[in-house]
Amino acid sequence: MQPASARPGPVLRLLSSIWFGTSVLVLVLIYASILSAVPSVRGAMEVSEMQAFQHWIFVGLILLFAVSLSVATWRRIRWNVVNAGVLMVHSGLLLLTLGSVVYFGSKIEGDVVLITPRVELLTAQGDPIRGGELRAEPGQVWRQNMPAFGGRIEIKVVSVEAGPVHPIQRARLQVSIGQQAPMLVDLDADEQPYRQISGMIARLVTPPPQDTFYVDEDPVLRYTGGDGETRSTPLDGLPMHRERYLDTGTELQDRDGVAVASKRTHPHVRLAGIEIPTGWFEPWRLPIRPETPGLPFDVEITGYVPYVAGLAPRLADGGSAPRPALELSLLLGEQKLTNWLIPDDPKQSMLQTAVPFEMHWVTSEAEVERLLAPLDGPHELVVEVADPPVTQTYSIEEGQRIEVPGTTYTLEIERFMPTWPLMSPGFEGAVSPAASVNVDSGKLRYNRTVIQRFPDLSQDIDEQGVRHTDGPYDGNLTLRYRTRAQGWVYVLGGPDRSLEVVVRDPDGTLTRYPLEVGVATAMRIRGVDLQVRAERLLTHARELLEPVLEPLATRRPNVAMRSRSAIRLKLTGRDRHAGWQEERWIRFSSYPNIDAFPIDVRPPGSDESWQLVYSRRGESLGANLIPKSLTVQFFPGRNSVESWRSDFFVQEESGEVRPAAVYTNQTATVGRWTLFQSGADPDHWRYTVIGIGSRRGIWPMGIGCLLITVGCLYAFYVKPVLKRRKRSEILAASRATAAEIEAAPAEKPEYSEVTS
Amino acid sequence: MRSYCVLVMLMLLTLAAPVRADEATAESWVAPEVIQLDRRLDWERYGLIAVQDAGRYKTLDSFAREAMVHMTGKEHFPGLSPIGSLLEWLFNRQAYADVPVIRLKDKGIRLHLVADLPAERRQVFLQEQRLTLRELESPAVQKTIRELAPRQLMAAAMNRVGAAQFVARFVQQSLRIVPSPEGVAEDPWYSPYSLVADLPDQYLEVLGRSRDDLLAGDTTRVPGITQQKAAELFGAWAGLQLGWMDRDAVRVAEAFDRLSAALPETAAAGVYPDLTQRKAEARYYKMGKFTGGWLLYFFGILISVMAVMTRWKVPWVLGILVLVAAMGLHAYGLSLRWYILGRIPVANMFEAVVASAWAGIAIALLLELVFRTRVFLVAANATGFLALVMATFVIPGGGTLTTIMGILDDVMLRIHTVLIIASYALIFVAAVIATIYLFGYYLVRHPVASAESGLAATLGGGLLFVALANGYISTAANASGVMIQPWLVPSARALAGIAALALLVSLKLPRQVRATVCSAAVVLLLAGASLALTGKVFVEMLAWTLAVGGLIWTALTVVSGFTGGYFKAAQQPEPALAVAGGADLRLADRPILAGGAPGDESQGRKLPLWLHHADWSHLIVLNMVFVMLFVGIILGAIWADYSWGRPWGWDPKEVFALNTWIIYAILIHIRFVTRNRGLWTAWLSVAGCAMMAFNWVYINFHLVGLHSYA
Repeated sequence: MQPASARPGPVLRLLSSIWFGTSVLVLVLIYASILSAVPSVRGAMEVSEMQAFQHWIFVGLILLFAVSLSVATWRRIRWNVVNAGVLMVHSGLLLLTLGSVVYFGSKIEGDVVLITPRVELLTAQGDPIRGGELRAEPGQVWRQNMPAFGGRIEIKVVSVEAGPVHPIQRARLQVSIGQQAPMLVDLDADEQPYRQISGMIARLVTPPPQDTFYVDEDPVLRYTGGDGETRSTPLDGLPMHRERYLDTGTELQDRDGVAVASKRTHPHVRLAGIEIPTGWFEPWRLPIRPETPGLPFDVEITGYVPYVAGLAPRLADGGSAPRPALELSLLLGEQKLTNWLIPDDPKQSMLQTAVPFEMHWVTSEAEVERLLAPLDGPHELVVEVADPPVTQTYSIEEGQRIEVPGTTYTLEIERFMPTWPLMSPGFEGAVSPAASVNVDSGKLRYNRTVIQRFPDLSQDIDEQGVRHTDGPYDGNLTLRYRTRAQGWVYVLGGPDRSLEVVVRDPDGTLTRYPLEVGVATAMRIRGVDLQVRAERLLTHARELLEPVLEPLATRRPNVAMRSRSAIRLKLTGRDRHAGWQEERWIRFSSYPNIDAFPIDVRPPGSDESWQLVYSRRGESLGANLIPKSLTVQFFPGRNSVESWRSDFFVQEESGEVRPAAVYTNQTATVGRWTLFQSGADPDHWRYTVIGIGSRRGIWPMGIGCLLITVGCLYAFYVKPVLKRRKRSEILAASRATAAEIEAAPAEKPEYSEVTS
Repeated sequence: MRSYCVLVMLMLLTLAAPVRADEATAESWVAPEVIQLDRRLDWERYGLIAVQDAGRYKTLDSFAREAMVHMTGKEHFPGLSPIGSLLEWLFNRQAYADVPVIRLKDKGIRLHLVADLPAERRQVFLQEQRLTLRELESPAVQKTIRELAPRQLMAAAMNRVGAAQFVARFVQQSLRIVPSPEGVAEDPWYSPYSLVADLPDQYLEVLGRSRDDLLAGDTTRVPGITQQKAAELFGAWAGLQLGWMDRDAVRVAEAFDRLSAALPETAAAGVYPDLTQRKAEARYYKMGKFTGGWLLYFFGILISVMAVMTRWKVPWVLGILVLVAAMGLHAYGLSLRWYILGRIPVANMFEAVVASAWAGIAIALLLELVFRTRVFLVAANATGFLALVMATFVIPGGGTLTTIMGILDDVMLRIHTVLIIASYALIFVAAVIATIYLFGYYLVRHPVASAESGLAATLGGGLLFVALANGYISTAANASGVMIQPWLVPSARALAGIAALALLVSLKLPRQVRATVCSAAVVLLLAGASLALTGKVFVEMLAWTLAVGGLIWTALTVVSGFTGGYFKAAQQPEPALAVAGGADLRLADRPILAGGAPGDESQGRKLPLWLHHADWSHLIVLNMVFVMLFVGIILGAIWADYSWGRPWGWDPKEVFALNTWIIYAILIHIRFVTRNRGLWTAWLSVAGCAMMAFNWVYINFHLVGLHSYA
């Protein structure tokens, strides 16, 4: 204990109080327990485990503890040999605290993917052959039976050579095809990376060196302008755990179609109806307005969602060109069927139910009249012969034979197909009624599939069975088919007309119903009463990609949430693009150099587009990592991995290249970074993930821990011996005189309240 | 003493009951001739055939036990040995197609599957938890299983369903007993059916079976096997099958002998596992992993409690002897496991609990022999008892021998783990001593309030039982199959709130009623909080703990009260010794001596000497805990630094290990500023033990973290 010349002030007394110190420890305990054991608290606060313990409250408590410990040690503990233990423990704790503040305050952690050099097999068109790749390592073999390429093919890597830059500069392959004699093929990473082998191409792939790693907890928006330069801006305050998106009128859905509402969109708690702001405590916020110099538009982050299962298109108004779309609901009792009808989309212009609903966007009454013109019977076929010019309309039925008067044509109606699926490019997924007609022109005999909705796509199959997809086999004959056998419902709209539903019953009767957006209209179709409601009508529809979320039941909490997240950007034009606004969602790209999911943004009227990527901050390694190989050791049976090893080369800034490896329980050092094995390809060879972290502050922490350990041992097991020895000495001395015994100092605890 | 006898009898009855039930149902499962055949075979010999499974080499006996546990919940069919059960299922599965043998223990899963069963089976299935093979393979059940598979809340339960289903339908594929002549230890082994592709045609003609017929869906081939070898091995296997189906023990034995001789010869040199090791494994499993020692520890508790209460030497000596015997058995099981695995057995929950308990007990025994305070003896026995009961009845997986991830195969990590778990065992030892101290303290100072508090705890337990009976309903939404009633959470919150208020008010109450009201409020607060915040399993455990613990506490307090002043006997410390911490010179002069502040002066009133001894003993353990736990944590950090690239990641398990240490840091410092030092120490020690248990149980099983494998 230091001599106290005057009574210390209340602050000093408080700080040196053991009760105060232990109270701070209790607060640390409570904070650590809640933030660590209750993930939902971290989720609500939008912090990771690491961030929870970098929070200013925790850091403040630790610093308060350090101050209290320092003051208490200085004021309460005598500096002597007996107390050396507790002094060491306290000094160790202070060093540990100091080191921790430095370590966690400067902690950067991320990773980088190193792709293993390999030989890839491509088709002659340059497309990868499925599974056609092998490690560029002597002894590696790839075998497959490929009759199209000459039979059983075996490719073996005979040897590889390192080069000045690439660990695999050259590879020699032995190629065996069918019964042919094996041949040797040399590939060189720089001079001849490609070689043709029996209709295939073998390519030596030597992945580029990596000089950047990506930091785990720093999301950024990367954008590339027309000049090709890529910049990135931090997205500070971006949420991590919860769905948070500002209300723009639409609610996101999960894979099961269940709406996933947004959680709080600004930090607050509501108590008894009163909103208490908690931004001082919670580090997230929305919207975020990052600085984006160089972009001709402002960017605002207005939404964040984790657990994204994929992006799906959603229709919204605001397209640059007219494109009508109608969201139509059919209500039959309790059942409801809702679909979009898009007249200019072959697939989505018709809703296939028992009675088809087909939408037309008509611009003139003549067009309406043509659509609604009566049919000559349940099935009608219009025959137009160019030479000699003859046009006839027939009511037809299956098996019917028609000899077209004045011509040599004989038609046989083979069959009707009410839902003929189309596969022509641009029409995939569309269906239409069709009639199969066998035609005998006198010279040609062929079969024609006459498609009602898209007559120009009708196709002929000639005498040899060849399908003519590029035009009619017989251009002299045109057939048009229509049917009302199953009834038909026309949904009509147009730029200058209101919506209308026209029902054509199988008997040919036409009934017209006006339709209003948002109002259900009762109608009778083929004897069934139902209600039809136009939910929304868009005149300039466009497709926006929107996240579809993982349902709650199948989410894996706390597992790589950021990597499955997406953000919503609100883009607002500046200067010459003023007035333009757009909302887009972007998925997270863990490695922007490898698996980026960019979006292209082109403001209206601009001939330049910008690429935006939502990813992680890149941090320079200060050296190049040149990939070499991933090696895996298995447990017996080769079903599970016991350990991984990644070999690579480190090219320092000086140009010096040295081999390095990280493996289970073994790190490597590059500059100020520590590298460790973090992940690997599930197939055990294609790539390896190297974790990278900083270690500043480790040494003070280590020395602190050592002092605490030694100090504890001293205090618990050496100090009592010293004290006993001292007592014995005093007792021995006390034998001399009773007075001396009386005068022997009483045992004092090492802590005592300071009083003046 | 009578209550102890009743307890012992109850436990013995509990042990005997399942055996009788097992035998009683034997008739309904397996035909008598199969049981007779099974009893005529020397399974100890045949069970030594090596099987490659789950990343390691094990004996056929181990494989059979584990497979049967996955499928039926027990290691064997009633009346059969484990291998007999496996063979019966392998060769005669269709005979059991309509026998409910496949156990699905998770109620939530059963509630989903029950709708896919015929009406007459539903109630039986819900109660008996077993499906038939035909029911399991029905399209409706398979469809439901596929739908449930991705659900996160069902993940662990669906893993169990998957394991049961795999054994029930495909066990023949995982019976990999055939090594490749070209392979190394890492390479896969093969099932006997993989030999079929290499059988000579003449052999098939003699056998009168087609190749496709024999393949049994296995399309793999054994690399490097000759036709002759394939015929030899498959011939033995086919002989085993035919002999088994004909219930011919001689042919089965002959086939096993042929397999036992031919399989090791097939493997490349150095690949087939060592026979001594296989024998050790068979012995280990046969003896139930040597966890039955809990019974010895239980007797040890009874005797050592008597030693504490009477201070007689005979029970003390007897207690030491029983403890040493229990430790011997315990140690033999541990060392066998160590030998079989080829590594120190501290890699999973079972191993950690069993090994740590042994380490803690050994230290406590040493301390008892040095200081002879008797509390170490009680604590040692209690630690062994609890650890082995948990290992036998509670810990999931039942101590199955497994491999460890390569990352855990590290010297530093092993030292870290050993130190941490040993300190955890000592934390429990300390908590037992703390409980003894608290019991003694309140008995001496406030006997009536102490008994009333025990009753309050019992009533709190009863209240929880009432809540358990009425507050939960069945649901198919999660794997446990239970859901809390909507009214229970607000009621529990209200109860906890009122209890917290009562706790505050109790501080102002007259001294005579303060302690009772205070403890009743704490019990109600605990009950309310557990109902509102935790699951049914925890509430059940708490209910039993409060009810039984409170009852024992009250009973012992009352019984001790009748003994009059024995516990308050004038064994007060000499004034000179009280200064040295309340311990007598014999204790204080021993070489292992804790430092720290002086002992309990108890607000100026002297306590009996044995309580001072208990406090001092407590401190000796706590000092060890403090150092061992800290060094353990730091070694873990050093390992993490060179393994994960960072020494500390704020993983929940790391945080709670640190929290536990912080509690002991608080404890050490609180002793300097409080008058009731022993009391504060005891309560904080109990809190530290609760924190440790929370870390070991809740954090391990309920939170995903870097230590999830441990």
